[in-house]
Amino acid sequence: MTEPVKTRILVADDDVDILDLVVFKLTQAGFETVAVTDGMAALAAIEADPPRLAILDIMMPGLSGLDVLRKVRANDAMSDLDVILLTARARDTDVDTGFATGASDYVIKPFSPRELLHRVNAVLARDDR
Amino acid sequence: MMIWSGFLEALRDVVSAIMNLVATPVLIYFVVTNTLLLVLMGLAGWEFVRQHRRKSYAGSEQTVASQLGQGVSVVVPAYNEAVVIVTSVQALLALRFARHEIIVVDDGSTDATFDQLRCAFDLVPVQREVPSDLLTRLNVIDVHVPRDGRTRLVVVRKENSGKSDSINVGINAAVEPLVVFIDADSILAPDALISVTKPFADDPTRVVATGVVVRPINWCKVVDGRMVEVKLAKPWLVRIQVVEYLRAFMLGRSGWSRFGALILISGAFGMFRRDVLVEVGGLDPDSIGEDFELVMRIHRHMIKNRRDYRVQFVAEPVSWAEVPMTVKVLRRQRSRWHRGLWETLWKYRGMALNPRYGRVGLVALPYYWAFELVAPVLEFVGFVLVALGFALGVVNTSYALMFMAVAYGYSTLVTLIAMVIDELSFHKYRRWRDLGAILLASLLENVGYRQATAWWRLEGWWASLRGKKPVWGTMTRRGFGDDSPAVAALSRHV
Amino acid sequence: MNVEQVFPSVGVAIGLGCVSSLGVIVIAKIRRGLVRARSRALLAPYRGALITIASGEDEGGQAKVALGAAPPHIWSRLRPSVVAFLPKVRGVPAEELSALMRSHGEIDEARRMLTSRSAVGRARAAYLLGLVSDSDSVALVLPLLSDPAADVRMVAARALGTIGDPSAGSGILHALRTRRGQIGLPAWVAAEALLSMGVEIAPTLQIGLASDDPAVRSVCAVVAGHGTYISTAPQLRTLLATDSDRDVRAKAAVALGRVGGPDDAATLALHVGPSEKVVLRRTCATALGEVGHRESVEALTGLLGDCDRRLAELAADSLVRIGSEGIARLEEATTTEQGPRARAASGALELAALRGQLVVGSTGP
Repeated sequence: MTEPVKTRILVADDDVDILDLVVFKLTQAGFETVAVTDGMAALAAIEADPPRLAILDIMMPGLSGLDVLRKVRANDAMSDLDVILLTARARDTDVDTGFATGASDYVIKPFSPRELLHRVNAVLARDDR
Repeated sequence: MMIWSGFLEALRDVVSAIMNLVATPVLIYFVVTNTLLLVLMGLAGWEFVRQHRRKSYAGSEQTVASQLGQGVSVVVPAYNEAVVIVTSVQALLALRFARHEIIVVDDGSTDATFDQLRCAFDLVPVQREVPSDLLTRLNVIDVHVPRDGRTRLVVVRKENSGKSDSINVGINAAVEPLVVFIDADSILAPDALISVTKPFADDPTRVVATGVVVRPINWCKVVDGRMVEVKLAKPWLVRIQVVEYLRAFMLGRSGWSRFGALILISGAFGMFRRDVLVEVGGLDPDSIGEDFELVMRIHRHMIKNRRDYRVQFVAEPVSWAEVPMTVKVLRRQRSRWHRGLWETLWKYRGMALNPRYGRVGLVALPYYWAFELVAPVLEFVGFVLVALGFALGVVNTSYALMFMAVAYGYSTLVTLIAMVIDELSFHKYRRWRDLGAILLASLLENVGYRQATAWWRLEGWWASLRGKKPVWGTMTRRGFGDDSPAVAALSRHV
Repeated sequence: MNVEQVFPSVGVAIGLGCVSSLGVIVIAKIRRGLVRARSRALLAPYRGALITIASGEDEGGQAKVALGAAPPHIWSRLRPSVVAFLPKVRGVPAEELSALMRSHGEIDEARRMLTSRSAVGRARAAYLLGLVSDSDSVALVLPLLSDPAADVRMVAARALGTIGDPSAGSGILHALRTRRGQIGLPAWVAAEALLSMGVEIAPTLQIGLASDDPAVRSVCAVVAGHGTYISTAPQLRTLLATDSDRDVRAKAAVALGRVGGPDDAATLALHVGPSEKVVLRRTCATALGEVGHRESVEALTGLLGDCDRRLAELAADSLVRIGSEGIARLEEATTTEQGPRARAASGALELAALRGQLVVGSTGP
């Protein structure tokens, strides 16, 4: 009997509290998670072994989440990666920029972990169709 | 033989005569200087405690999510910064803040600065006009933004005309109400903008400028333009500078800020209200101590116009910059600083001891005249006289020891107290080894370093009095944690 | 004064000072290391439970029980972590964390501390009450809006905003005034607090827009615009036309851009003329872009050649925002004209093209 392959999700946030929280939530929901604390590491992880979905904070050390997203979208091999931006930047222009850069969804902090999980499932389901 | 002993006799007489005059005043001078520094430190310590306690209710998450808080334009003048510019700009874009833009002003770089930027950020030229709110010397060549049209980065290219003029161009191009000047090789903590805008946020109508402590960076572990580990540099020259910065810049300035008479903001990281900058005319490209000169001009302008205003200092360690690693570069830097100090103090001499200018005129300026400008004279001449006098037998042992105690011992005590305050509030140096090294450095400072810097400062002052043209220094750059040095010809002001 | 006599005491004093400073540094460092190690050891078992609650996975309530039963000496170390989580999450986790704080008596303690003699204590208490959105404490926090300490006033206003009870609105507006020795609450703090109070704040805004204090009028205008309180539009029009304070007029213009209707385009266009002050002209130009409508297009096109180049830039951006008509005018300007007007127009069009804002199929430079 083989175990079903778990969907892998990358989570990137320099705030350890948020990172632990999201990783825990996703793990409990049956996902496999990869956690990193900065933009460069996120990009490297995506390039090395593309996950199914990435949850990125925007304001991270070195490379911002938007930069990571931009590089991902520019790279043909990874460009169809689903990305959810999880950030405190809440102005309309920020949301516009997020979606314009190619995010699949945009979640504003403070956030509801349950809602985040719903959105993750929704984004995954959207693409599976 | 006769001539020699005759010469010695004459020298002894001269030194003896001088010592009779100045013996006690010199001692008193050092006691006063160090005591005043102690007072400033007391004020600073009080301020730190206050700031530290505020953290528990500061609510930085709310600040970052703010909808209506003021935005910041980060102006980065760059000349031949190809080694660090991309990492630096990436790190600046990723700073935790609600709303900010980066404006890089390429001051006619001859290296790959612009190409690096263009590649990394996919820059395209746009027909954006840079307003002329401030008069600038050379025209803008072109303006570039990233191709997505949304990343808040603007790269302005112009012909080479120096850092001050470039900053003025950056101010012109800035669209946010607050402007911050950062050197391309400075490293900022992620919350740096939150920290340095806090005074503006708390008191938007009055605060016009804030300054931030800059710490030496040469050997901290930096990853992707962000400080990861604060390590102490290996060269003793740098270690001594770390100690010096702690005492003079961080605590000295915090104290002045608490007292309400801060007249000097570090050039590496200062934030100003854009409208005030435009009112006073921006930076003066002809001035050597241009950051000092700007703040003095702001003080004068605001006081003359009877405006209620504040200039504040933010004590948190949020910014780091490279400091000279060789004697040659250090010498040029100190000489230039003192020259800038002299020229600015002289330019605004009308404000000193002038009651119209309040605390700035009656307290801060006289202090700078008496204890910053003149200090190297007393330090160097005093040291020479005492050493000579002791050798010649004019000065007795207890006087010589007293001089050492008061000039160096007391100063070391002040340094140690500075370290106590630093240790209790920020404690950035984790390892015992580093702490030990710093303590040793504070002792070593008195054996040669202080005398040398005193001499170099005098050199700068003399050069200015003689009317010599200023020479902009070069600094070999280490880059961020990578060992390939790059030569940059950008004047370094801290 | 004989140096020989004075020196020993001076030398000893300095020496003692140095040694004691060294001692303090060393002791402080040791202590901190010890405290940190101990904290880590003590708290490790509780971190998992905290994460469980914070992520909303505490279905069985075990984590809550475990944390609720934490003894006082552990809770005092745990509290900062719990407080750190509160502003980061919403929904059930936030409620459960608040309940946890309550069960440890933190809320009662905070309420008491509101009247503490220490300003830091008062501020911390207000901050906490805001974090847990304790609506029962609104009446207790309100007096802090006139606290002697500026910090406390700010934290109180923010806390009231987070709690969101509209009855605190007028108190916050009142705190804007600068009284003797007390600077008023910063405008942006008041505005954000009011914005989080929702629809019910509209009556307070209407009263505030008629206040005799320009700071109050200004803040109310900002809130009216950002929160799109359409009922305030008539008052905003009056303010724009006749207010004595420059800043109020500018803020009213911005607000009208968001809540105004087609008729307001004409009013805003009036204030864009060269006789008005710079700030007002610029805010009106931006507002015309928000209001939209054909009338704006004329006024904005006229500004492209203005000697205030920033104004021209804003006008061009506004034309883009208006849509196809504005864009058409801009394209016209680039093809038929030269000089500053063409530059401003092509600048805005370029940016719009980069952002993908131009209408598909339009022909352009």
